[in-house]
Amino acid sequence: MTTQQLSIFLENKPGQLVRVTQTLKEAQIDIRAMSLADTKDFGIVRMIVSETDKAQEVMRENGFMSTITKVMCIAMDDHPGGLSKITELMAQADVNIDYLYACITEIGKNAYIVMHVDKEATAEKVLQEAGIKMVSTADIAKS
Amino acid sequence: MFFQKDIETMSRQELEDLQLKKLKHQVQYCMDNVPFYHERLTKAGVTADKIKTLSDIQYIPYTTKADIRDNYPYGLFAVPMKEIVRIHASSGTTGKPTVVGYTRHDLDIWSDTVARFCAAVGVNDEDVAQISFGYGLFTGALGLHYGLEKLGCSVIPISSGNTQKQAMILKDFGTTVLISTPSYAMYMSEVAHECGITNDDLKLRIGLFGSEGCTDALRDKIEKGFGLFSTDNYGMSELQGPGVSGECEYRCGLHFAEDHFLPEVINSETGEVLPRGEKGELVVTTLSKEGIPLLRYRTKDITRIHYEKCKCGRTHARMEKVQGRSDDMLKIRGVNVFPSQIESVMANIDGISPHYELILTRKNYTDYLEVRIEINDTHLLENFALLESKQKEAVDKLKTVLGIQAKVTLVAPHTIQRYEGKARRIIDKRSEAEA
Repeated sequence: MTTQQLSIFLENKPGQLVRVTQTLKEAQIDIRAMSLADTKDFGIVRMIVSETDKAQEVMRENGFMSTITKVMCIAMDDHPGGLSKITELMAQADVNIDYLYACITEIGKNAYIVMHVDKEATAEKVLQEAGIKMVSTADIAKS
Repeated sequence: MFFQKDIETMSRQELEDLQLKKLKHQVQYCMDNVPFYHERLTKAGVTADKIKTLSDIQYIPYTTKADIRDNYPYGLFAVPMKEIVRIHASSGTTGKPTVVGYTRHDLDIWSDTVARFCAAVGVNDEDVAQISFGYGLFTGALGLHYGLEKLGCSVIPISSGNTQKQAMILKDFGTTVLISTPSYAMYMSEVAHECGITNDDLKLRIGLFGSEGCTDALRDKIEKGFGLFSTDNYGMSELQGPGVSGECEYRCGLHFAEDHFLPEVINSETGEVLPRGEKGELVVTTLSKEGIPLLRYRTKDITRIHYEKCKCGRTHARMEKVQGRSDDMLKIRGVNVFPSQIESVMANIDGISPHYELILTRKNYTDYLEVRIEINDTHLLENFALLESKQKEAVDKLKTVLGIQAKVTLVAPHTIQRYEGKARRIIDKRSEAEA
């Protein structure tokens, strides 16, 4: 089960991110999770949004370059050791995590982990065997 | 295909005999009709009679762009204004423009020489030619216009600008030949594709690109983008405009119209004439001009000339594609850099668009070069390592080709300025006060 993530290229200068958030606001698209990594000159904003295809469309109309990538999204309980369990499983299965970001929906209850790994099928298998729940784009859109 | 086969394929001996005859005539003509040349030639002790062989041209002093400017606007014209039927001028980025005048006979030769390079790539009277050069004082548009009309093409004088309309006309009018700068052709193909026009909707088969340099790598991209075959041509308003030389279908150099233009290559620092086949500054003497004849005009363009007969059958000498005007050459930290070198590096990297911008700055008396390039492959957004490796690839390749370290900045698509005429990709801030 995979989730769709929108990645947007940004130049690292003032006023760039606001154009992204305004564009989404105008299109009435909700951001569920988001990560912004940077280097000196450019950045990539990654986000899980309520309507991925529509978001990409409005981004294109506003001159942004973006791509949709499949990522894994895991729902977990928000308690100490929650993330550690997942990373341990990945390490044992020799799965490399390319990047990961998290968002908590309600403190003490639910958290989502978004991650991109090199061996998706293996990761999915070990998570399932450990009884860890993965969520789809549709699930996130609802939540 | 040939426009004037007998002339274009005449033996070297016949051609050189003709050139000598015309050179003597042109020297005499300058002596008699242009006070500037009368004084120059007299001072140098040159008369038409003293020119016995083509190599005797070396005794004639050079003419420079400054000479034309000093005689602004009409001082070098050899005929009274009633004989002049057209005036053009160079863009003149600094100071006054250089003004040139044409007699009816000059225009006739101009269109002949343009028709030659158009026919050489297969343009014929069935073609529909869209001229997307800006009309005006610039020689490109009208030069191609009359040459293509002479060949019998249906000419669309659309001029430059309004790119969406250009794309619509390309499709609706069934344009088969496109005339523009290479950078505008690149932009037009982007716009056409954005408007949903595919190459199957177009009848384009030939591109005649000119008025600015174009690397082979950029040419490949334009040809793929539009699905056409293109040739390069060369000229400058001082000498006539396009038609001084042009490629044939084999694209192994640009054939001079040698019966009208006599080329030489010199060492641009010492002024010494270089042996055949060596690289240096191109110097051209007009052999047929009546309006503004020029003797040994220094073009500032760096090239090499080949005299062997071409596969196409033409005997007229071929010049290599100009690597850059000596004026365009950038000196960065003491290293000579031609923007064309940077362009070919960029065009050979996948995932980035051929649009680029060069920014030169100076800090602590050291020059810095920044190359801004647009990424155009969404796949690069998958992870940082891909973007960074693309950036590093550009830095490394530039270092290899230029020998200097440049900063490469990746920017979002469509953020670098597009040009409808000559591209101005260099922003030199070095003369600004140091921050």
